[in-house]
Amino acid sequence: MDWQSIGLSLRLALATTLVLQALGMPLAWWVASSRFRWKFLVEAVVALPLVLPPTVLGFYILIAIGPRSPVGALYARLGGGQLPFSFGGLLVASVLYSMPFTVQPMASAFSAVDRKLLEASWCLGVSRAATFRRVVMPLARPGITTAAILSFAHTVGEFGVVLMVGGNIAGVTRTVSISIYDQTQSLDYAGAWRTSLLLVGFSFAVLAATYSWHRRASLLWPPR
Amino acid sequence: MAATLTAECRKTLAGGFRLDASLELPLEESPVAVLFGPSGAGKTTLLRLLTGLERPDEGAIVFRGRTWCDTARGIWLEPQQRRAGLVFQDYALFPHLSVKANVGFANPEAASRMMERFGLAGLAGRMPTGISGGEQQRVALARALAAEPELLLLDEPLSALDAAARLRMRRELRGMLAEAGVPAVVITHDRTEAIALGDWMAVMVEGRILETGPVRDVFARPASARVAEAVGVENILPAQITGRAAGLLRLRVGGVVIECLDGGESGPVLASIRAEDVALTREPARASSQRNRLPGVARAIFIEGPLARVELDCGFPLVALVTAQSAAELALQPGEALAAVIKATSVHLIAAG
Repeated sequence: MDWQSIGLSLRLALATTLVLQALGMPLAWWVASSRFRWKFLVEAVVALPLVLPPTVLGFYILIAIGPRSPVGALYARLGGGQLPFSFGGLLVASVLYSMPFTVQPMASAFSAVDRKLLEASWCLGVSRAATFRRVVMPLARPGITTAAILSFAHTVGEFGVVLMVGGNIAGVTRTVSISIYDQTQSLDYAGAWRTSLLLVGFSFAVLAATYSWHRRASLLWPPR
Repeated sequence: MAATLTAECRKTLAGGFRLDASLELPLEESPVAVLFGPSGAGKTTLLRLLTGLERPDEGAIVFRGRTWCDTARGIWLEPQQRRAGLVFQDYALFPHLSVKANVGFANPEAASRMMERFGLAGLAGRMPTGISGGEQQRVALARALAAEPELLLLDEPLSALDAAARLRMRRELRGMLAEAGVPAVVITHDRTEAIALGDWMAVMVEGRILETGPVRDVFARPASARVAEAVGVENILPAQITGRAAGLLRLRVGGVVIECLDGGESGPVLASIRAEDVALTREPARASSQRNRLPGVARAIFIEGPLARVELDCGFPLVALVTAQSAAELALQPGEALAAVIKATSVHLIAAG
């Protein structure tokens, strides 16, 4: 069993989930509450990774974070070294790739919170930020939890984007799905079997736990 | 500074509804004002403008000499800065918080005191969904008052209650508002609620404030036919003054002459008579304190709960509201002859046009 790549995948999934909770929550709140006319364009961009082939997404990310791009150049100047084929690059790619899995459950949970409750809180003199923390977040907790679990599980299972952006460097960018690909290519079917089975078991356990935890919370694309 | 609330607000809503309200409430002398009008008159929108949950297209709101909003001068206070407590129509209690946490949401120190005062101490640990409608209303009121507002706004506070609770809470709410010592504006479309709760009243119809004044005055002597209609005066009859004597006016309504008190009116008028003030009798005419005894024919009878609404033809159409019991004792049938009896003091004149 390739424990090194399993450990790397878990670390990547954890980091991605944390970053997405921090970035996705304000974005999801904006999506849920804004009346901006062109909001649908932002929603479409966030949802793009759901339909794009991972190779296409990976290709663009690779170009965007390369040393000749502004992002890559800035990162290098700040002492971060090169983003492609590094853990940092993988993290950027994973965050973008799993964005819809965070934003959509959160946004639908946020928009299910009765606006009157926010207004009641404001009229009681409670600030907008405190109202979000004390009213919106507790009421949207199932959606926020779902967002975290889905982002984590989705990152553990990603392949195409990781391969495009990170390549296949043991201990640095070789995640568990790439390890399975390697094992299959080198005809190590027994190894591929074991690792694949582990991944199936893991994913199934996570989803089963989530569904049983909040039966009523529909997970992926609840009606808006 | 006297607790006067003035609001001049214009706003066009997405559906094309235009609100153009000019309101002045002397909340010092009359601490509970009722904003009265039919559904769809814009009462809730005006309340939301007062709280700062909506912005007027143009206008100004001043309370106790402090400007809450003035579009001309670019002044805008957020709801948090206005200290106007709002009690929502369906109370909007936080469903994830206990009764105690709801009451103490703005001010945890005040929670115990407020729950004691509103008889909620025994419910502290309960969740809002597990208590009765009347209790929910008390929680909403206690929650708003715990934040120590300068003005309390209540949107149809009794409409979410069942009939029995509504009767009980109507009595209690008046006492609770008086005890709170905070001036209040209460929205209602119910006449009984307006009379039971309010000292002062503003009548709103189709986005405009048509009349303000002491509640009993507005009900007894509406200044225009539209206000009379809005406050539920069923009989508004075109009339001509044909004579005056001994402080009484003689009016010709349809082909019939009725008498009312002479308030110095002249020219064409509308006679407004509330259906409750029309009594019915089968007895032949004899001396009584009632000036107007009009023979007529019952056209239709509708039983509405404990009341019967009788439509008469007395030479002009007249609606009478009597108890269902009286209707049964008189054995009223459509087509039967009977007499309508109206005291002269129950006929109010409104200048026509």
